[in-house]
Amino acid sequence: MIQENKPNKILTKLFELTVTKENRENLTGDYEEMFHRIVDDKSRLVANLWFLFQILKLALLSFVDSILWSSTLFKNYLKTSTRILLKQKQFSIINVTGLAIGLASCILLMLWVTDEYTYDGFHQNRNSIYRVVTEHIGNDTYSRNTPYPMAEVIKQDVPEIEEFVRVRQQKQLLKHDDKIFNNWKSIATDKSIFKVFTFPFLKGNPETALDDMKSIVLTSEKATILFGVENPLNKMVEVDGELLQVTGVMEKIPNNSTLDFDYIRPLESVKGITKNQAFIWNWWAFESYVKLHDGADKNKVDEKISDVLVVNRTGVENTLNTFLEPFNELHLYNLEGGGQIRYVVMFSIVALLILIIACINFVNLSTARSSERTKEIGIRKVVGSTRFEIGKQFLTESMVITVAAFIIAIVVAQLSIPWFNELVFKQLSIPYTNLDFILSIVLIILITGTLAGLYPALVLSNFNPVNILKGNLTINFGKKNRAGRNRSNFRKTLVIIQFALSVGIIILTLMIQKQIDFMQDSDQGYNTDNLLFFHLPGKLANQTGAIQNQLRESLLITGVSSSGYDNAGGKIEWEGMTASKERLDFLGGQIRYMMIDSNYLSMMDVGIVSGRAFSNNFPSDYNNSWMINEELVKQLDLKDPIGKSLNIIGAKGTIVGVYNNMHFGFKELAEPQALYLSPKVSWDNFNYLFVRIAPENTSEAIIFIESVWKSLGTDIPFEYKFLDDMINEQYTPEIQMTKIFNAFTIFAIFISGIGLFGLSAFVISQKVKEVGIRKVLGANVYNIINTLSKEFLIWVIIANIIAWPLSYYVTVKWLENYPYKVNFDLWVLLFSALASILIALFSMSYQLRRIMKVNPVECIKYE
Amino acid sequence: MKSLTRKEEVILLAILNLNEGAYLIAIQDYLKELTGKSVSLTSVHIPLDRMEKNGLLESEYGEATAVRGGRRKKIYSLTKEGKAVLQEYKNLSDLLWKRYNTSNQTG
Repeated sequence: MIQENKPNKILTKLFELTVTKENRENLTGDYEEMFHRIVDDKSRLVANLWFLFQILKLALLSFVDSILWSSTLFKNYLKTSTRILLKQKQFSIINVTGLAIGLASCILLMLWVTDEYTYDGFHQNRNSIYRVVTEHIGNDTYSRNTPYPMAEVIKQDVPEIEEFVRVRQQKQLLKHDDKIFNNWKSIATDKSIFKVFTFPFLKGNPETALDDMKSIVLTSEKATILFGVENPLNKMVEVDGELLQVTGVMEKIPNNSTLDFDYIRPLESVKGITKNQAFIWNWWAFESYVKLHDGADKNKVDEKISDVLVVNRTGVENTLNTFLEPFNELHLYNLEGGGQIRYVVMFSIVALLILIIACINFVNLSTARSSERTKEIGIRKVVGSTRFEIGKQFLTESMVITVAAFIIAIVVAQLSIPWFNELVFKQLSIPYTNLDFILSIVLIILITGTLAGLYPALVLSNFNPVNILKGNLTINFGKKNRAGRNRSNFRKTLVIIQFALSVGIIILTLMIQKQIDFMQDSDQGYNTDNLLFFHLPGKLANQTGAIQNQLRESLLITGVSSSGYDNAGGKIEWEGMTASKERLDFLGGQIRYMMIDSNYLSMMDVGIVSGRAFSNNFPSDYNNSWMINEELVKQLDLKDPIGKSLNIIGAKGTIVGVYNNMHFGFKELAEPQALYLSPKVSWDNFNYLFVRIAPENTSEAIIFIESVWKSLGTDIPFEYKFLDDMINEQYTPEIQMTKIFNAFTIFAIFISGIGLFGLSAFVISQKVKEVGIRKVLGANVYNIINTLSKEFLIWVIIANIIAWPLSYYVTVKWLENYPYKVNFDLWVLLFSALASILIALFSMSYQLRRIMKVNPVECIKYE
Repeated sequence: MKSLTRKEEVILLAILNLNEGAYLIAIQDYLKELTGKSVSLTSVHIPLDRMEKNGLLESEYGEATAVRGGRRKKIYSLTKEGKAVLQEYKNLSDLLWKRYNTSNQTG
C-alpha cells in the first residue's frame, strides 16, 4: 500500500528544491510521512493538494527570507560606499556634479523632444485625418488653403472620405462687460470639427452648439476669464458688433496642438459666404481637413482629387495638384522639406551625446579613482572577500553616485524649467507620475551605474592580493599588460572625443552668432529706426489724410506716411516679355504690389537705383506709373526697365523708377514688388500708417499717437508695433538656438575639463614614483612638467584637427538655410583652438602642481 | 540570555517531554494533542531549524523507514544552553506568579 501511494514525483522534486540542503533528507521524509497519513485519512488527491500547498508556502517563505537577507547585506554595502565616497570628497563631488548636469540637460532636452513628438497626439482619429493641400507644379510651392466649395465636392466624389471640416482663422473683436479682447484667436468652422478632432466639451452639446449662426463656443480658460465661476452657457457676448450666445465650453486645448484657438464660430458666419463669394473657386480662404474611413487607401484618394482645382476653375493650366497631407505629420514635417523634425532629431542626438559624454566621464573618473584602491582590495581579499563580493561593492558605490547624481539632476532640471520654458516658448513640466518617465529614469540609472561599476568590479577585483600587498603600487596587469595599455588608449580617446566635441560646439556657436549679427546689422534697404506702424481697419483708413495731419502737429513725430496691403499674386505682363507660360504662372504667384502715398519713399528713406521716385511734378504718376524693386527687375529679366510698360492684374502703367529691395529681415529672399499711388484692386486703401518718432521721447510720442487714435471715436484698442522689433522677432528661433548652444558650450567645456582633470590625475598618480626618483636623481621638475603637458596638449590638438572639418561641414550645411549668409570665418577656428588649449592647461594645472610638490622620500618609502 | 518566543518555548518543552524520538512529526503530534488545535508542519520545522542554528537544540539522525521513502529522521534534543534558557524562563514565571499569589492572599 505504501509503495503504491507515493506522493507525486514532480511535487517531491519541487519540494526537495525548495528546502535547504542540510534538511533536505529529513524534511522530505517528514512530509512524506504526513502525506501517507492524509492519504489514509482523506484521499490521495487531497494529500497531493496538501503537498503542493506546503511547497508553495515554503517557497514564499524562503523568497521573503532571501530578500530580507540581501537587503541587510545591501545596507552594509551602502554604508561602506558612503563612507568611501565621503572620504574622497573632491572626486566624488566633481563626479556627481558632472553626471548630474549631464543628466539634467538630457532630461530638459527630452522633455522638449517628447512635447514635439507627441504634438496633436490627443486626437483619437489622428491617423485618419488629413489636410487638403495643393501643389504648384514646377516651382515647388504648396498652398494649404482651399476654396470653400472644395471639401464638399471632394466628399461627394470620393467614397473613402467619411467627413470633412473647413476652418477659417480670423481676427475679431470680442467684448463683454467692459472687457475688450482683440487678440484672441477666433476660428469659424463646420460642426463636424467635433466629430473629426478630439475637443471634449465641458458644457453644452457638440452636436448642436454651432447650429445657430449667432452662437459661439469658448475654451474653458477664456470662459473663466469672461464669466468667472458662473455658468457661461446661454450668456451673451459681443463679437465684431454682433451679439452672440455661448452654446458650449470646451476643455482646455493641450499646449502641443497645431489647432490652436480661443473660441469657435460657425463657418457660415464668415462674411462673404452669404454673399455668394463662397462659390468662387478663387477665394482660397479656408483650410480643409478630411477624415477617411478606417482602412481607406490614402493614395487612391490622392489620385481621385488630384485635379479637382483644375476641373472646377476656368482658364487655368494643368499645373495644380491637390492631395492629402497626413494630420499627424503636420507639425514636424514641411512639405517643402525640412521642418520641425530637424530640430527634434538634432536635439535628440544632442541629448544622447550629452548623456554619453557624461557617462563616459563618470566611468573615467570612477575607474581612475578606483585603481588607487588596490591595496584596500588586496586586504579585503586576504581577509576572505570573494571576487563577487568585491565586485558588488564597487557596483554599489557607482550606483550610489548615480542615484545621488540623478536626484541632483532632477532638482536642477526642475529649477531650470522656468528658464527653459522661456527659452523654447513652451510650457513643459516634469511628468513625475508618468510611467514611461519613471521607467526610463530607472533604466538609465541602472545602465549608467552598472557600466561605471563594471570596470572596477570586474578587473580590479581580479588582482592577486599578495602582489598588491607586496607593494606593487602600479597596476601590473600581468599577462594583461597589453590589455592595460589598450585601456589607457581607450581613456585617451575618450578625452580627445570630449575635447573635439567642445571645440565643435564652440565653433558652431560662434558661427551662429555671426550669422545673427550679420542679419541684424545689415542694411535693410530703408531706414527702420524708430519706426512704428499700426493698422487702420475698414472705414478708418479713409481718414488717413486727416490722421496724418494731426500727427504731424507734434514735434515728437518726424515723419508720417501710409500704405495699403502688400498684395500678393496676379497676372503680370510687360513690354518685351519673352517668358514661357510656366514662368508666367510662377511669377504670377510670386509678385507683390502695394499702394503707397507720396511721402512713403522719402519717409522710409528708400534708395533709388535708377530712374526717379514718384513726384508731384508728374501728375500722370498718380494713375499710370509704377516703381519696381531690383528683385522684380531681376525676375522679369528686364534690361533698361525705365519707360517700359508694365501690366499687373490688368492695371497698366509705365515704370518710372527702380528702388532698393526693401528687406523684411534677411531670413528670406526679397520678393519682387511694384509700388503705385492709386488703388488698383477693389480693397486697396491706406490701411497702414507708418510713423517715425524722434528717438529721445519714445513713450511721450506713443501717448500722443494714442490720443490721436482715440479721437477717431473707435473703441478698438490702439495697437502698434515697431518695425525693427518685428524684424528682430524673426530671428527668435536663431537667438533661441544660440542661447541653447551657449549653454551646451559651457557644459561641454566643463565636462571636457573634468575629463582631462580626471585623466591627468590618473596618469600622474601612476608616475608619482617615477617623478620622485627623477627628483632624487636631480631632474628639473619643470622638464617633467613640460613633457607631460606636451603630451596632453598633443591630444588637444588632435581633438581640434578632428573637430575642424566636421564643424565646418555642419556650419555650411546650416547656413544653406539662409539666402543671405556670412562666410565661414577662419579666425573662429583659431579662436576655438586657443580656447581648448586654455581649458586643457587649466584643468591640468592642479594635477601638475602635485608633481611639483612630490616628496621623493615619500614614494620611495614603499620599496 | 537568548530570547524565546512562546512558540519556541513550547516546542522546547515538548521535546523535553518526548524524551526520545523527538522528530518533526512526533513533535507536531504532541503539540496537536496538547493544545487540541491543528499545527502545521512548517510552523514547527522553521523554529526547530532556527533554534538548532542558535545553539539551543542539537540533532542526530535516526532511523529511515519505508513510510518516509527510505529517508532518515532528524531527532532533536535540548542542549545545555537550551535547558538553561528554558529554566530561566520558568524561574521568572514562577517568581512572578508567586508574588501575585502572596499579594492576593494578603489583599
